[in-house]
Amino acid sequence: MTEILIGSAGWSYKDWAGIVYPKPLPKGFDELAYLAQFVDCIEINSSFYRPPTAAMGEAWARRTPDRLVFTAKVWERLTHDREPFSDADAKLYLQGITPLVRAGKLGALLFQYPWSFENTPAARDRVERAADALRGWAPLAIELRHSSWLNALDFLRGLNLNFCNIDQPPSSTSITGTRIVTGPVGYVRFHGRNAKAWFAPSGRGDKYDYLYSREELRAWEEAIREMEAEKLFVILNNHFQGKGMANAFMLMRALGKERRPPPDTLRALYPDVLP
Amino acid sequence: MPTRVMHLDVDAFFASVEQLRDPRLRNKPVAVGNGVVASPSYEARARGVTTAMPLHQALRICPELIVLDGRQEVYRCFTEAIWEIGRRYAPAMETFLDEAFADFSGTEHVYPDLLDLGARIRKEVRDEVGLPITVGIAKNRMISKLAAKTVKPDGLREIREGEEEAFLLPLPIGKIAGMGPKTTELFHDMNIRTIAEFRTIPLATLVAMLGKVGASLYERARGQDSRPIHEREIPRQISRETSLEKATADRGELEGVLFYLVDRAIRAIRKMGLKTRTMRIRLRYSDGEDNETSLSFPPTAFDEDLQPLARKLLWKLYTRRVTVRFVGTGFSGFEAGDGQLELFTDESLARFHAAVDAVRDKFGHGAIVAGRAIELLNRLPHDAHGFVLRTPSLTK
Repeated sequence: MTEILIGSAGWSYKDWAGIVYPKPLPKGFDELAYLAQFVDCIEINSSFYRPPTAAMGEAWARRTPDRLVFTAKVWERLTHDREPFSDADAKLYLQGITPLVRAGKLGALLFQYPWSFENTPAARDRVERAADALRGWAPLAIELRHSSWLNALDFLRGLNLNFCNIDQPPSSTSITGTRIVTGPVGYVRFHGRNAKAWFAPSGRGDKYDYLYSREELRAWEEAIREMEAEKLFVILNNHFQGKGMANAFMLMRALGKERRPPPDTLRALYPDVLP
Repeated sequence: MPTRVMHLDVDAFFASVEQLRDPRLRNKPVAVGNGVVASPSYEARARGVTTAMPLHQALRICPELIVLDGRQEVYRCFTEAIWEIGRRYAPAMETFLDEAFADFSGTEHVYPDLLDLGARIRKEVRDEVGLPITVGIAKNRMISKLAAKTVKPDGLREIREGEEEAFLLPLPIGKIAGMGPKTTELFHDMNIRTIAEFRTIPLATLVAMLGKVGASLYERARGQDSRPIHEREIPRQISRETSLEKATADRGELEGVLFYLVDRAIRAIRKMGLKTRTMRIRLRYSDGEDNETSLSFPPTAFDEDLQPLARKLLWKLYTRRVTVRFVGTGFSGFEAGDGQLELFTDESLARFHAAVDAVRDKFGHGAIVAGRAIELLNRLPHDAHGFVLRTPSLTK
């Protein structure tokens, strides 16, 4: 059966103090180690902004239980920059990722492209080049938001790229709510449906300020059960005030995967969804 | 004794090849097998189809399952292409149908970083052959294979010097190379479930329980595995066939001949430290008509697994009211056995096999013959080498 891994995008959020994490934080409190107790997987987001160092990769592997699997966003240098990346750039990124691979704890590398990145021959070349640079280290997943990529699934399969489905506020050009699987690894990212903040130039925190209701998650529960992948990563990115973690616990309960009860502080803030 | 070993394992091998060759099968649940599932695609696995599951059960839980017969020669072509890529780098490789071991001992100056090399090989195999492989790296065969198993599919992992203990201790005892299902059950009855728990049993106790096998399990549980990796010729097929002195339609006699031939072939397979996945049976009728059929199954080297399958194939094949004058069996689709230990699925069965083989070595194959083949003792002449067969057959 499909191995379903549910977890959080990132772990280092100031507004999680007193909600997901205790408040005040005890001296020497390790947020990553604490979060890892509750989830199956954690998506590393900081690797998008800068390549991690080998020491960081080693620390992440060491601070988490053996069973905990990471996915890691690919450095934006390889996906977003107009200037083509160099082999040295790819190598630099891999240095930080390698300790996780060695430890058997890297479940996927996630290429994330901007919503405006359309399916064109030049775009496909860029995707192919980026995939080629990191191929062999871990299963490769790809998040493409522009709807034109729905016509390129065979292209993605041909590159052994595992499609990352997203849930976000609907729009005419963005892919959302799909349940596509193009390889042995399935991926779903929940961004929340805060349409007002999503499409407006407001603060980052508001964009991910959304708590999915039971009904909204029920449809996804069914989809998650039916997606035909060998491993399926389900990542909650609606992190504002720990809402993503509340939704993560709801999904874990519904799918029979709850490892431990949620922190009391999280239940206190979201009593309707976490009785 | 090797010190740096890379294990390469093709993911969902037979199914992956079929999906690569026929794009219409991609993203569909596919299983290669005949009678039982030999290789399910990841889509089929997602639906709960597993290796060794009877096909009727697989179709019940996944009615859309596309079932294909195995095509050994096709699969062999693909793996030979993969192993050629490995040979660009590895000084020595031991290859099987869907897995291989590469020995990089003494190459630290050439390949200081085997993880990097593993990634490179995985990429080249994907780019050039189109198939996904998982790579495990460790100091010996057993640990490198276990490392790979933990990160399948499409995985890469290295257990470095000094990390072996932390890796092995929490693992279930069934993961110890050579620990078969019945021996595992024996220890489960003693509430020994993890390698950490198994290691509390003294060597003397294990030897008393299981003899030489116990001593080997003791070492393997401590991460020691001195089996070398060496190039060797793995045959495409091992077959045994015979014409019958007198053509017959007697079911008992035909089964007896077939079991005897299976016995001899499987003994050769065990001696080479292999397991097999495909059996072929051939009959020639007295009027010259030739029929043949084959079956794929999960890897095994046990008569007990193969005899019922051989019987099933024989009765599927023998459908005419005409006497038979030739019987043959052939095995292919070999993979690494886990050493002789793998044969010992329970203590008495293990000792039985070991004793039978030892007697046969000393007194000839006819000295002890199992099961239905005993019927032949009364019907065919035999000499010190076993039954006198009309035509000797050779391993191809």
